[in-house]
Amino acid sequence: MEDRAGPELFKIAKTGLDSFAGALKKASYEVLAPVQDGEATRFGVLSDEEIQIPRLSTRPLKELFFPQDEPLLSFGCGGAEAMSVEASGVVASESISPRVVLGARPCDARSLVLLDNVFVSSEYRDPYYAVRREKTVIITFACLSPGAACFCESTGSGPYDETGSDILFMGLADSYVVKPVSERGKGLLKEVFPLSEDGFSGESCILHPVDGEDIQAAVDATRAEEKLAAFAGVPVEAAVAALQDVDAFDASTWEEIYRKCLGCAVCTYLCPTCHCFDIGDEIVGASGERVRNWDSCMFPLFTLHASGHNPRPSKKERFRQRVMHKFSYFVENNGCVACVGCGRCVEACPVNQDMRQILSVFASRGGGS
Amino acid sequence: MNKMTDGAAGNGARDTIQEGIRKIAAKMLESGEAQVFIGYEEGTLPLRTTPAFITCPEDTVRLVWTPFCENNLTVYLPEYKGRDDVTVGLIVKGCDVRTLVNLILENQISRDRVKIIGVPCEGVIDRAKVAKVLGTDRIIRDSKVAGPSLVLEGDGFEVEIEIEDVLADPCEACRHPVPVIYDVLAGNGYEVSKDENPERAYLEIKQFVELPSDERFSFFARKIEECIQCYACRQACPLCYCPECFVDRQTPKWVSRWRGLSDKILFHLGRVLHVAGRCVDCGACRRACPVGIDLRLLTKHMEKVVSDSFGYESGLDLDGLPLLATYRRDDPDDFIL
Ligand code: SF4
Ligand code: SF4
Ligand code: SF4
Ligand code: SF4
Repeated sequence: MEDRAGPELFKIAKTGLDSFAGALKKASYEVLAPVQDGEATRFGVLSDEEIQIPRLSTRPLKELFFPQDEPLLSFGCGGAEAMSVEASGVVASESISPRVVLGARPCDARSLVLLDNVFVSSEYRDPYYAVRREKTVIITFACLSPGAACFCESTGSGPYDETGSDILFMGLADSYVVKPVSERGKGLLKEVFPLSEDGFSGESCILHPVDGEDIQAAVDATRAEEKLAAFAGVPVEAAVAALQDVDAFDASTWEEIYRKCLGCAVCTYLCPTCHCFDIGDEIVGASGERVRNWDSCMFPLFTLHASGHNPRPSKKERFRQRVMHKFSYFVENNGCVACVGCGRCVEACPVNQDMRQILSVFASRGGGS
Repeated sequence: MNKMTDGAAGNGARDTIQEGIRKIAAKMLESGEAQVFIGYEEGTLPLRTTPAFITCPEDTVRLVWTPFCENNLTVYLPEYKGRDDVTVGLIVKGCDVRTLVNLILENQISRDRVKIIGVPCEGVIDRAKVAKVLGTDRIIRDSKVAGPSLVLEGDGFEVEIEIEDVLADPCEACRHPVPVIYDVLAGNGYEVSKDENPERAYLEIKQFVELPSDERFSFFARKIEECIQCYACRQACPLCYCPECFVDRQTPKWVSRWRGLSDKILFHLGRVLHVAGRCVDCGACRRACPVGIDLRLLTKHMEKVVSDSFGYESGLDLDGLPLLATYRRDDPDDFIL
């Protein structure tokens, strides 16, 4: 590249976040950040409120790319001959304006890369999802303190994981170190915070170029080993090996672990990597929409055949499916587990069903037991 | 508010109850009186226990009794319906036993297929309240119960809060802390005080109920808008045992998964009407909601309509009839719009 290489790292005061968001908005980006929705937090449009980054939003980042309900197309079914179909969903998703997620966590950012395997693989391209991905820059905040259910480190991710992020913010005492991770991230910073010959000027002043080596040492100091240990400790690899055993499907262990499950959709709907959906027609009068909705393998309806037969008749088969899909089938298809260790399923389960425990049980017993 | 009357709601009383539960459960399994015992064991997170299904007498040492025993375990009983080979032993609190009474009255389980250990209950804690008191982003690493207080430890802090201040809403105004039926009462001899004022329980919903109807609707709609249709409220409710819920019907399809507000409202109003005269305010539905919607505004109001109109309190009388199975010519009907 002919271009003068810009600085690799920047610094921003913690109090400068709102100005940072303001600068993005001024550059015509829609800023999506964690917002309060009743008692819960989820990603939504940041309007004039102060930005608050919770430890982990209640609802996952996936909703911004794979919303809970999404019209795919619309149709008219008025007269006998007049059946019109319009790709309204594609049109709508194409009109989405460029946007920036400000305040993702590393687990959520990684989840998008896992979802890409499903929605924008070499075989399929889901236009609704793809357009949103293309139009969104992800700014992630590294985690300094694990929640009680976090186990990202065990799934190959971690509190400083850069996978899926375009820019990573790493917290120091009263500032963040800003690290552009992807070309896109670099491009965004260049565009919104232009660097003149004598460094930043005007609004760009909120970003300060910093010396890479010094700052890396400061960042490393926050990554003390004992803290990392708190994010780890779940034998995911051994569990995957056990679950890929041909006998795992019929293991008697399922009999034990499914029992307390209530069969709700808390774990699947809040999971950043669960991606099952159903498609239905919503018709009002002479027109309708074909809508894609989240579905959950924990519901009996998920596999109910028109004949009335259900190949997953009880909570046991349904619960097994959730675990096997994440830690066996997805691995087989895509080479990685479909879990980023965010712990949402662990924390929000009404009966404290704990994925970490289930993985440990399979890791120690093996699949054939 | 319920309090152990033997002084400072001591761990002494709780430990005695826990010991009692373990012994009785072990005896039930040993003697073959019960084939499976459902109780609580240590959870994997602070402030939590988790349901335990125990079949070996030796495993009963895992059973615990703490103010974290929040789940209503009777939710699992309809799964044993018609299983004449299994008698289920289980722990019930004052509210849980009332859903059990209803399950028996509604023929979901027969009385002789359950062995009931009743526990005089001093209330369970509401985790959301603890988080509010502490500040939601302070991460609790360990929680201990010490007499009337809760000791919470986290990164760089140790805080002690009164259990009384973080009791679940239904527990704050509970009028039946001692189970109305049981085979054995654990911790027999301990008494818990109860709230004698029936109106107290309705104070929290008063504000909502007394809003002008348009404001009440917009408040309700705003709350219901937050619902993600995960149906955890339904799944956690022991009385929502229909093998196929009306929202899951496909032919015809009553409720769409499309997150339209009217579909969500239909679910919630349908559900609350289906538990009318049956709901016992155990709080399981509200506790299960991952986005914190206060479903008690609906269930509590329905309970009041039932109590004002029919003088009926659900789940107290094993020899009576369910409210909806009775009819008198002079039944009031002024609650019908
Ligand atoms: S594991 Fe928990 S959250 Fe998931 S379906 Fe079962 S009860 Fe619901
Ligand atoms: S399975 Fe649980 S821990 Fe893993 S990504 Fe999903 S919600 Fe997070
Ligand atoms: S509706 Fe809610 S409070 Fe009432 S019995 Fe069911 S779970 Fe308990
Ligand atoms: S538990 Fe909450 S989010 Fe889930 S269906 Fe019930 S009210 Fe809606």
